[in-house]
Amino acid sequence: MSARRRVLDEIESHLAFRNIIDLVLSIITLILYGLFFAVYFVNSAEPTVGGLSVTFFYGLIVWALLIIVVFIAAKISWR
Amino acid sequence: METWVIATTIVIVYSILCIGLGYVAGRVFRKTIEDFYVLSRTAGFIVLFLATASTYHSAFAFLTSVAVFASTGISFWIAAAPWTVLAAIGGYILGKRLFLVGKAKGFITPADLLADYYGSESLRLITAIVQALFVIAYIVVQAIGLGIILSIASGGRLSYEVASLVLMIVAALYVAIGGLRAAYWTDVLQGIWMYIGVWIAGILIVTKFFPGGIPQLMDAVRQTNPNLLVMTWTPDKLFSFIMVYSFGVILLPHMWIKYYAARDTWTLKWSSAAMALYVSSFYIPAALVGLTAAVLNKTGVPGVLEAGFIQKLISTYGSRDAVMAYMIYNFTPPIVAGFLLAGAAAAAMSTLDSFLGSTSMILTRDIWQRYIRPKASEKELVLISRIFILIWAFIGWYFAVLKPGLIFDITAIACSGGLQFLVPTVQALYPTKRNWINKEGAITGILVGVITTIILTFGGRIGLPIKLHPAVAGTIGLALNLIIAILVSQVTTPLPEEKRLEYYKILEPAMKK
Repeated sequence: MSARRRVLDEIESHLAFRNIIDLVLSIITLILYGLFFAVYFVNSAEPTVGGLSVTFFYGLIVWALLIIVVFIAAKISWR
Repeated sequence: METWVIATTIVIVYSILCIGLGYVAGRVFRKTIEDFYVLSRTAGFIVLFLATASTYHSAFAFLTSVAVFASTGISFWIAAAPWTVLAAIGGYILGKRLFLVGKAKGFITPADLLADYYGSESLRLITAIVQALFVIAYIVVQAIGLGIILSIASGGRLSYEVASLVLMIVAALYVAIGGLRAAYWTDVLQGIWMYIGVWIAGILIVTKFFPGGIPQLMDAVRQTNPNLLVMTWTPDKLFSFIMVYSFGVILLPHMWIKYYAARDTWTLKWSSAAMALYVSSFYIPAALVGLTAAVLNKTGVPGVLEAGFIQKLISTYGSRDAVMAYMIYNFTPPIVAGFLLAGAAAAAMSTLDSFLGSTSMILTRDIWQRYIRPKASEKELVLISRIFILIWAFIGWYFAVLKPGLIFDITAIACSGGLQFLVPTVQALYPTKRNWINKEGAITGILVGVITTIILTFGGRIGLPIKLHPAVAGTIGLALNLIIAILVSQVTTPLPEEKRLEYYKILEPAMKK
């Protein structure tokens, strides 16, 4: 195999996830983004904590989790 | 002293401060194009974080978000939370690679990278023209915002048109004097000012009308219009807004060049994480003001505010974008109002200055230097940059005077243009063993995406049976862009392996532990 071919193969391998932490954080992020689209299942103006509607409170919780994941990723995964 | 005198004075003092910073930035300017545009690649954490965050947030964040909260309710939050955080994540996953390639190859403009990777001067020209044209919509947005802010600060004594012109000149002046170095410096000031401002505005306005705080406000909204407390945007709109206001923004030149300016990858990483928190949490106080405005618009305040006041603002300013500035002017103490309106001006100016600087950059480097005066000296290029800054500021102001509509919608047009560069940029920054996109594919994809976006956005105005939000149009454009780019690339000559290997080697630090 030529040196160039080996580098091209290396390119492919580097596109894969390097470790389990990267993979888990990426999946969690995707799930959290999915949860924003799941808002239609909890779409209600009924009051919850602090008088916030179910929808608003739900949106705030998912956002807070997303921010936490971003900072965890920055600390342990982003290089 | 009357409110308008105090508020106008504070906005003027703030403007003088910006020009002063521009002057000082100009004094330390090293007379090279690289220093004029990307700070000689020396931006540290504080500068990069506040510059990216405050550039990302503009009149859109300070004005139209409140207007949309007032009319559509918390749907805006459900979409804005993911799009703001995605913009920050994108700033890391794409920005870090832009930084590495930019530093290794001395790139300054977005077209530098695309033209080099795909080996096409045509692509350089297309990128420069498309970006410079779509950016006009974003400049118009800031001109609208600045006109509203100063006009309201002056208690209506300055017309919207004159007010917009005055602040546009201020921004153009300090960028022309100090280059994007001035924009970076003022962004730091503006980034702090606008963030503190929006929170103070939120707290003061809500507690003035609802002493019981958020629970009382929510009850009032529930009684007047409960639809404002649920998600009313359809999933396709939600998806389109997330795409357009995240990747669509960061792929426009004003944000792109920020990644070239970073000192190192550590700086980029933590400024991206901090930006995620900053830009998304900005919309919490905006939501409170917007929902308060919605209630007051329905009920009115006896002796203070007539019900239906938003409709009056629409007839004066052409859209409901003036709600935030109006609430601040009328319902906070005069000195605070001046401070907050200056904060609103900061939000608009911090984006406007970067747009003026980056647009003049792509016009100067990618068109003037390449096709008109290839042997121009650095001094001449800086002069030409300054002229382009003034011209684009005037064009933006001219369209703003026409009162083209809601900032939320106009911004989507600009970002839809930016989104069309996602496909070729990702391919360049994520080298793959198989070449999915080549020169022909990239060019055809961008053109198809841009034309689709324009037709779907403006088709209704020329009699076509189309009525799509610009963000949805841009997302459909992106989908077609991707499909066409891949198809065309498969039937034309692949990109040389050498180029992919070269980029792979440069990007290795981003891929290895």
